Amino acid sequence: MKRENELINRYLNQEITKEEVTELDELLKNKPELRREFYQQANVVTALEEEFSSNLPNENITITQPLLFNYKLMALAACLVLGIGALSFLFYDSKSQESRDIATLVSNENAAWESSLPTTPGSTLKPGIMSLKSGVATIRFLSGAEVTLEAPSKIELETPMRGKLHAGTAVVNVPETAHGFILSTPDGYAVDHGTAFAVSVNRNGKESDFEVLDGEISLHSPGGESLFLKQNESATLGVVGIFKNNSLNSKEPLPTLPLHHKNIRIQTQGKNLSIIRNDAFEYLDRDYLMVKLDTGGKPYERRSLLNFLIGEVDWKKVKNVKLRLNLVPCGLGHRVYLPKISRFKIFALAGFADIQWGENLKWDDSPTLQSATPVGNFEIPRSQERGSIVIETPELLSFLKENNQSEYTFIITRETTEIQGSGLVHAFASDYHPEASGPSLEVFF
Amino acid sequence: MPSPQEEETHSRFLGLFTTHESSIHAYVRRLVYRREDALDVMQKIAIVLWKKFDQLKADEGFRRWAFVVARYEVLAWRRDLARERERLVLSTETVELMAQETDHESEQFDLEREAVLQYCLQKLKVEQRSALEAMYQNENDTPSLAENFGRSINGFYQWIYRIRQTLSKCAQQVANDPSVPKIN
Repeated sequence: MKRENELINRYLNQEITKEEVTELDELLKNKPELRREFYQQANVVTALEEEFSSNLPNENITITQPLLFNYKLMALAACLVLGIGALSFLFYDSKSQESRDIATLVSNENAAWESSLPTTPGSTLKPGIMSLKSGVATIRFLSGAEVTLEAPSKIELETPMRGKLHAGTAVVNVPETAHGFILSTPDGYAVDHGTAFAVSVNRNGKESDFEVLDGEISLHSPGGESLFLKQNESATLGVVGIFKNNSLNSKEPLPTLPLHHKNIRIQTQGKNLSIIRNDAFEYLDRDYLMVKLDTGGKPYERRSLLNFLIGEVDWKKVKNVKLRLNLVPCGLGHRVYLPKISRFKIFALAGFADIQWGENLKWDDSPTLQSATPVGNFEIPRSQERGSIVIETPELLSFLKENNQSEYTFIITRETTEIQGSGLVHAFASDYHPEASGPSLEVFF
Repeated sequence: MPSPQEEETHSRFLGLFTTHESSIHAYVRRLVYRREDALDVMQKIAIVLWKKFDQLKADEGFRRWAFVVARYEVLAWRRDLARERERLVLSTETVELMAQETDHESEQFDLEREAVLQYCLQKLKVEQRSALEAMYQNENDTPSLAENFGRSINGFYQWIYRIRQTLSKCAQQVANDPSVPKIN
């Protein structure tokens, strides 16, 4: 290697000495072609840093809160008030242990996830939080411990020997190699001594039930209490400590969830479509609700429209509303051309919408954003391919209640653009999608 | 509670910032020796951009403006360092020269970086990719990395350099090749 290339190399590897910096400085100053080589190398280094050391926070679950809760902005506001300094961990988490693989997603059985971690079977997983929204899924930690989750549940992957169940139900199988595997819950933790056990986090995390299916485990409360449990024994961990359940063999029936007969879920019944600014309808597909913001003149900007005919609803009695979308890949565009996080905005229109839903809708014939009211934002990391997006904002609820209508139309737009052309087109399942269900509006009384 | 107008401003800022964040960061990274220093400078840039956001007349001008701020902040950082003699940095003169030069080509560099991520990394041999991953993933301990890959320390560095050169050549080819499929 030539001396000057070696100096660049040592500089970029952060291994250079003071004398060598002076030498490199002189060379760079006088040699344009060496500067070019330097830029190229530095640029590659930046790409590699971006690829291999994640700056994103561990948990990046889809945000359904209105913008003012956005963590970056909260931090910005706080920093501007308190003085600069604390911003680093928010904007730029320094690389830490997050980047290690600690588990594999073994199987998904009709599973829908919300997670910034990969959610396709066979993916390796780094520390982070995964929320299983529907179905059953199995995660194998590198130690060999296997956790099968039942939706809805939320698990935090911590190390190859440790995980935390924040909510939901799981069965843990621990082979010999993983004796000592720890599964914690909000109420304490269990150390596995080579067994299978079931765990269920109940009452919003205030209680955790453990039942040993085979072998033995020990339970530990935050207060320092502990208890050994053998096969078929069960116990509850709660705020007041550990309670062993006496009914050994005569299992009590599983508690059933209270039914919410009065709540309603409405679908769009075919009344959903995408529009594209240049009206090039061949770039749309009935199976997908596409959303994109491109650069330049924005010819390929896409928005999605959905309509819910709700019927007679006494809006005064409505306590909550959720608009649910299913993110699905449509195969158009590259995700690396997007910023790490894409932001979306939802607008709402009240009352009858004069739209021919079964046909192509021209951009200029569709409702404008000025005529609609913004009711929520959400974000999707570019790494996320699928998942359920739930919009549940006070703005959405109050818009529906205040307008007191039986029909509402929503427009979904992407706020963030792409780094360069050919960026990913985001897509949500329409009513016609072969696998995922279309948009729905859930109304809770 | 922020007013709807303030929220709108937040939203606009965040949209623009996240869109250009990676370009600005790469620009800073070309001029600043240590990764951690580059992150510090980025924080300062983010704060300045946010504080002065109301001075930006049109959103289209954000990128240009952000680069001006970035350049100023890099040079300010460089001047501050001059007081700390022990730091290993290029001279202010060289940094200024490079800031000026590299500014004009940031879009080309963006394309090349995306090409690295999109195409070129996948074309490497498994072993080459693992070496890069090991090198850039953690606070690396190079002697043990070199040993793991069966190379001397010097040999390992040279090998990494050659892999980076391969990537750089591939990136330039891909970025300048009109036949690469564009999907809109």
